[in-house]
Amino acid sequence: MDEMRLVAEFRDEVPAIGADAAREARRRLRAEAAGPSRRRETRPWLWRGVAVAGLTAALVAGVTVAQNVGGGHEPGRPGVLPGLPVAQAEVAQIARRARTAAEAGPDAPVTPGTWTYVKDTIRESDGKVIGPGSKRTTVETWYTADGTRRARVGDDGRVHEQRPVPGGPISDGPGALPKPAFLIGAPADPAGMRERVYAEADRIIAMGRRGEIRSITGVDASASRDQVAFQLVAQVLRAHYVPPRQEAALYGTLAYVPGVRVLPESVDALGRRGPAFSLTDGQSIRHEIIFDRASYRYLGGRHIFIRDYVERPPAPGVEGDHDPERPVRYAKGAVVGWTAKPVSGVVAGPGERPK
Amino acid sequence: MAVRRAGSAGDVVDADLIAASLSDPDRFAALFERHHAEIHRYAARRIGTDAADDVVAETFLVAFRRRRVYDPARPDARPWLYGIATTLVARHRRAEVRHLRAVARTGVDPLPEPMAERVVRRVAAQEHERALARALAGLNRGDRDVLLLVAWGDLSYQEVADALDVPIGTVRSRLSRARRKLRAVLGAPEENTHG
Repeated sequence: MDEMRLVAEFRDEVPAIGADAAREARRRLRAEAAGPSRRRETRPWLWRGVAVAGLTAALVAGVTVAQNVGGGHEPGRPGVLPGLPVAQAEVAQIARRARTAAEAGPDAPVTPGTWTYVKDTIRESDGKVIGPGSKRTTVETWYTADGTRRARVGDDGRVHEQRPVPGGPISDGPGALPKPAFLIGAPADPAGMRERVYAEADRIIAMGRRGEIRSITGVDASASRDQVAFQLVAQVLRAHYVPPRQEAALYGTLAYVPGVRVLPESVDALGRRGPAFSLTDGQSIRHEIIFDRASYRYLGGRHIFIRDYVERPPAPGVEGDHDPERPVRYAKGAVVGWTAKPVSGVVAGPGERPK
Repeated sequence: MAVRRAGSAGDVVDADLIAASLSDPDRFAALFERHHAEIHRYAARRIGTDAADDVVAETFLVAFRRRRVYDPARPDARPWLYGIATTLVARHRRAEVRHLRAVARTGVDPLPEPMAERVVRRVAAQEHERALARALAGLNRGDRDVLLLVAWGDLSYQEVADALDVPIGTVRSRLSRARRKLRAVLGAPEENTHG
């Protein structure tokens, strides 16, 4: 193992500087070059994260409410799920309602060549706790349902189709997780969808164990089978257009995932409120799938610490700057991932947006 | 990896641009155009794009203010710029370490993901990446600076020495210590003891 090669590959896909940021930097440089007042704007960035603390406190309050409702077992504590937890029945019931709502609408079939559109928004954490003030990035993507063609808005503001990259993240190769075609022909009933989800989860876990994958789509391949299944469902809902009936089936799948609960209310990255399916991982981070209370359509996702997290000292033999007096902490309620999918649908082609 | 641009663009090397900017400050803009993307990439890998946006702007402001003391014997300004950027990155040291520990702990990289490859939303890191992040977090700052300037800035030992204003022997010993610690954490047998 060559440690220098590993370092060189680490975070190799970091985004390039944005046009706005480059413009701002040029402006500051020009002002400096032009003006006599050479002392301005030297440290505005130091305090960018300051507002987060207050926002976090607000989130904690919200979480406390959520946790008091829905009762039952402590989330995240392993091995305390006697029989079928209440949440499972709740999940199944919501899935049935979602199915009823879906069947009231048209059933537009999605074929492999169908162009679909997804607009999604993330709040960038930049390592800090996320709050309503965090930088928001919205991305529009067009792709055919089989994942073979894909387009996005380029730096020039126009829509460009991307060239397929062999083995790259937009390909439908074995490394594409979940496969873009995951939903094509997927069953619209919970039991059938469950089979498909767990089969894909098992494929991801096996690839992780064989060392064939390192970076994958929002799914931690080293997590438990149920965690992988939940994260896979969350990722499909977040990144793809999902027809209503399949969406209901994905919700139904969650009723079979031990530990999944229903939160009465959460909020997505655009501030839209709705109930959420949730599953808490081993680090006390609760993964949430938020949906609309009336239509049951997916809204967005959130990752939030549900208890105070205090960094433990590094393993023996690892020298570090860990300070036992001041360990790194995440407060209960700290949000470390926040997304929303405001628009998605079938379209005529790249550049077209759903009506 | 990194393209050496010192001799490009009609043989106007960085040092010439900096010299010209003494009488004509606008000439400094060309230095920005040559190097800002690379400096941003380096900073973003360490502390995230948001903080990197500021570090890049600050780096060129600081460089502009210090241009009179630039050593004209160094045609390539990259080591100088990397040195300034590294000093600015140091202000974010706690955040940097916290990001790395988050990767080590959760396998999820809190840094914003690349827009172009948005399908790979988050790096759900595998074991060796988590171990690597843990190891990087555990390095002291001087060692981490040297390691990342070599690995990500693609600078030579002499250029790293210039960037950080330390003797080249210090660069060698820091790099060797950093690599040794990485190997220890990554579980590789320590086949050669440093030189």
